[in-house]
Amino acid sequence: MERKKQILKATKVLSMSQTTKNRISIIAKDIKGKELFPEKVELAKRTFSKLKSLPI
Amino acid sequence: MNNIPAYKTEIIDTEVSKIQYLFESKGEKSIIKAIEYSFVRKLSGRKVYNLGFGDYDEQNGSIIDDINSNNGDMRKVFSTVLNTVPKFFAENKDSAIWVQGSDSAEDFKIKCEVDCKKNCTEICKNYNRRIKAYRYYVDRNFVELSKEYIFFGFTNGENPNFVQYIPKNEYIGILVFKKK
Repeated sequence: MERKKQILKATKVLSMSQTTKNRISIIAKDIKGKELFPEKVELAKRTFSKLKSLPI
Repeated sequence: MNNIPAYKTEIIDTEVSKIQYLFESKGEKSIIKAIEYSFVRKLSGRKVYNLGFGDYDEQNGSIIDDINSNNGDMRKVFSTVLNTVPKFFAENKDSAIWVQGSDSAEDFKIKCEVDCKKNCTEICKNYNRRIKAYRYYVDRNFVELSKEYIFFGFTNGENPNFVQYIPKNEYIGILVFKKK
C-alpha cells in the first residue's frame, strides 16, 4: 500500500500573484532549453565519472 | 509533512534530461529563483540527476548559484526546494538525486581566496557551506526521512566513495533514493 504521508511535501503552499506569473513566464521563455547550472552539472559529471557503480 | 510554508513553483521544462522550476522568493526583496534537476549519468541501471538551485539575475539573464542572497526567507526557500523532491520521485521512481554545493568543488578554496575577507588560515570557512545546510536538514529529520528515502554520503579524500549516511558525519555530497 502506498504511503500517503510525504515528509518533504509542504503543508502550505503560498500563492503566486498574477504579476509574478507574468514575470516568470517571460523568464521561462529566456531560459527554456538552457542548462541553468552548467558548472554544477560538470562538477557532478566529474564526480560520477570516477565511479563504477551506485551504492544500491 | 513539512510544516514550513513553501512558495508556489512554476514548472518550466520537463525534458528527459532536465526538470526546471521557477518561483519568487518574497523576503526583503523579490528574487526569482530556479530549481533544476539535470541528468548526470546512468549508473547501475539508474539515472542520476543533479539538484541545482540558485537566483535568476534578471539584469544579466543568468543564474547565480554561488552567492547567498540573504533575503530573510531562507526556511521558505529551502522548503520550496524540498517540496519539489516528492514531485521528482513521482515521475522518476528509480532515479537518484545528487546534491553537492557549488562550494564543494575541488578548486573552490583557490577561487575563494581571491577576494575572501574571512582571513581563513588552514580551513576555508566557505568550503562546503551549502552541503552543510542540506546535511543539517537531513540530520535533524533523519529518522522521519529514512522512512521514505535512502541516503548515502559521498566522502572526499584518497578513495572518494559513497558510504551509508550517518548523521553528523562530514560529506561533500548526498545521494538520495526513494524507497519502494
